[in-house]
Amino acid sequence: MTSPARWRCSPTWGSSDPPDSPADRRAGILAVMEIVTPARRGADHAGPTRRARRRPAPGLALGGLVVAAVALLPLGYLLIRSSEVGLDRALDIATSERTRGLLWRTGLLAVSVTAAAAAIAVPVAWLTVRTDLPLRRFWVVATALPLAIPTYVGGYAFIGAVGPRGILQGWLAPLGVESLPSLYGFWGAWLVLTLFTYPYVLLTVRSAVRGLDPSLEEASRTLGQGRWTTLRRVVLPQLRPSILAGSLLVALYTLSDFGAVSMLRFDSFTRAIFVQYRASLDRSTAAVLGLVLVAVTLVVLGGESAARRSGSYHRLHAGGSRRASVSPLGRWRWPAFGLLCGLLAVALVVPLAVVGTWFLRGLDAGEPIRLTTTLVGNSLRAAAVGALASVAAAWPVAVLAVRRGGRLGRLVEGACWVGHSLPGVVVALSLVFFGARVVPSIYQTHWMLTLAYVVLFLPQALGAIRSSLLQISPSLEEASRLLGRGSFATTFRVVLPLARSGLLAGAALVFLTCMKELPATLLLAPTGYPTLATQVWSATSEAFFARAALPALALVLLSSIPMAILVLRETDR
Amino acid sequence: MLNGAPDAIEVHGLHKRFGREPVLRGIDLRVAEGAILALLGPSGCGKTTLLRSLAGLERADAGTVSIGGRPVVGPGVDVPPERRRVGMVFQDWALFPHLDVGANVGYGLPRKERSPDRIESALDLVGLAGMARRQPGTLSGGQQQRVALARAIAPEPSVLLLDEPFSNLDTTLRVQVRTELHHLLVDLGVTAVFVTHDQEEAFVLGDEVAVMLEGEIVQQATPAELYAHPATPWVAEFVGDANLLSAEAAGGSARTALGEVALLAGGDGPTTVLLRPEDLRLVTGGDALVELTEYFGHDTVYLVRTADGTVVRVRAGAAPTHRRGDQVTVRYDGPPAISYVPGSAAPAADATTAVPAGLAAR
Repeated sequence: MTSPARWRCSPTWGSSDPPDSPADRRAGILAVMEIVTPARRGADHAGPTRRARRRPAPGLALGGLVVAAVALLPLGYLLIRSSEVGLDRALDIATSERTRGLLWRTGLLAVSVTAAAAAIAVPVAWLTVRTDLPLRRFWVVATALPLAIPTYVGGYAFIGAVGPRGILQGWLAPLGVESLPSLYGFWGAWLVLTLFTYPYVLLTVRSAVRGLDPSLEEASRTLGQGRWTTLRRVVLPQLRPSILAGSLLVALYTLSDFGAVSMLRFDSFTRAIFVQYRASLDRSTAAVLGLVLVAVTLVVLGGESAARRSGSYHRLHAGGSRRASVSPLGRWRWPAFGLLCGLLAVALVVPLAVVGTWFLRGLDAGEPIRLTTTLVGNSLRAAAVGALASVAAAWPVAVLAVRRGGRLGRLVEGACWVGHSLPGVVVALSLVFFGARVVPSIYQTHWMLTLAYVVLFLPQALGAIRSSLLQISPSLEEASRLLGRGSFATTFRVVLPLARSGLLAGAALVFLTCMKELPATLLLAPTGYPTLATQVWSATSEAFFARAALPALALVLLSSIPMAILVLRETDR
Repeated sequence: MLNGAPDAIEVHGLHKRFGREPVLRGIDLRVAEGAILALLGPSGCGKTTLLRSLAGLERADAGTVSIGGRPVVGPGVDVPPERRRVGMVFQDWALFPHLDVGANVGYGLPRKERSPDRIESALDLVGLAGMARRQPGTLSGGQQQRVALARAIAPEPSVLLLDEPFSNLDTTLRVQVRTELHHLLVDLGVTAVFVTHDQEEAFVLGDEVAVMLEGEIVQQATPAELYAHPATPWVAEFVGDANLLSAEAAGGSARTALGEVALLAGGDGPTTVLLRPEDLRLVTGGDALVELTEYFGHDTVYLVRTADGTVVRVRAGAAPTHRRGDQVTVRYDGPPAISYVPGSAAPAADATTAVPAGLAAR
């Protein structure tokens, strides 16, 4: 990944915002989200004001429209498929007791995970930025690291440790302990999802804590308010939007998570959809359930944006910001240190140690390691094709959105974000229907899997390309045109070379996300094409913990690359 | 200073370093009750740090601070900012973006005093009556500053601190806002300290001006005194146009490139003499040459090169009466001049390092 500095979103050409303006910071948060994975339909409306007024080249517009159509395909086909059931039947399914139960359980899980993640992340963000915590710089990096563990790997680690036939059970068996309290169900899913998603809140809140204008706190102090009152009346209200934004990421992740809830046998929407599809011939029910889940996702998105609109939260004045002072923790210094050690142990050290232990046990038992090279090859190939296709699809959309703007640009870009707010299992399911019914020739081929990756991860490539395009002054293109180069030649000789880092960053991002993707790969990969992710899942489901260890370690390793870049970028500032 | 009443602010030997860099090096300062003090100095001289130390936003390494006769900084004493009864207007206003104007102004009031009437009267004071429900972001720069001011004075602090109060305003707005603020401070009679790097602001607003350089207060005096009797050549140049001429002193006067000039204080030997441009006069004919004329409307400044190559600035009222290339004579037409003994260990960072001769006797 070249020059991460290029991802920074300022200066944005054509936008009139001063540096460190709200739009700039919003773009910064957006960039965080894009890197970390389930990026979102985050509306960065700081569009260029200065753009070509001519009509877009017909080829570009056509390309953009095709990409938009592809992005909308899963949702559209799901609607068609559900409508075949008939409205009455669909309503029956959507309001059945089973659906209501699913709604309740999934909602409860999303709310509890989000609340717990925020409860962990907000104090940790404050501790690691604004206090004299021992080894503070180490904690800045360490507390974000659990994000590098995919939730299904985390689930596997916990089952491998305290599940039946897990490590702890093995230790306790000689002592006559027959069974441990079950990890399966709500609490297991809650624990795993909380531990491995709280960094979403942490990263967004931490960047907001860094961006706090210290003179506001000082003003509050000179107005006679003590440290705690200031925290409550000034700091927390300032952090509210970032807490909301991070919580939204966690809530959306929980709603769409498939791996951890399936492994921990918690009956949430994604698992129910999957089971419904696998276990019965009644695929309409799965389609309707998918639509209900999409509706829940939309409610969450709507709620967040409504909450965010209800206040303006930006620095009123650009100048005069000084570095915030560090608050001494006093006698709470070491207790805080201890708490962070505990967090790190549960969210990082123990899971890695468990996976490592199973890996060693597997070696002892002669588990074949050669198999893994095939897995790695399969994963690499699928991810590489997915990344290339996503970048190729994102290019016309980004150019349309940044350079031409207008209704067409907004429409096309908006369509691309739709696919991204859909849970992977829903996209996969819809494409299964579509493939089997409409295009049987590509069903169960790599084409189908690539299509799913493009729908799911296109916005990540889009975000990276978009911000690098925003940094290219339109006058460079205009100069090229005035020097006699056509639009095609200008694109190849000026725009593409300058946007190179964005293209590479986008590709790398999509590549790594594809490697980790589970539900779509599980449903759409050609028969007999196991990948690292599907191997971890299937081996864990059958309690072959040793067999899952090596692919899990490989995935953690790969996931830590974008994490490392992200955290380094963050500490640079 | 007024008939034995305690000073509103008293600072003794205040030291502060950031890392190994000393920022305040033994500050002594007194501000009388109800007076307005300007802290004037170039950027990086420590004036903002001093202001923040008064507010309790920086912790001094050594020295004492009393506000209204009450020690707030000293050995074993460090009163937190919220208990110093000090109001502060920040350079960037620091209005709380999540609160409307009224809530911003009421922020520092105790809960039971936080009534709409009280807030409205504070807003009325700064000419913003009826704006309580507005969001700070919808106000102009000048209005935001007035909100910040209303917020700072609403809890009736014993001292008001202002950090570069005009630096975030357009130049066109500055003069107008300055006059408004001046009116308000005088009407309220509140003790105020403000930081500025602009000599004009300091002179217009300040009852007294403390000039700071490299962490020390070089001179504290009324603006008129400061202008007439600057403590060092550096101060002389910092607070206005100055001709600093090297000269030879003997028997109460000095021989300069412009001829004999009467000195305020005696002393013999090499010296540096301060001649303000408005105390110089041009006479047609002579061996000095007008090199440039700069017309400002209310007056004109001539750059004149004397026979020995010394260049002086001469300020005269009204329109230019001499042109570039004219032969003239420069005459000193002012009071007995200030002189500085060069080469002594004065704090000035100037090449013409010097201390005032005979000023101690004034």
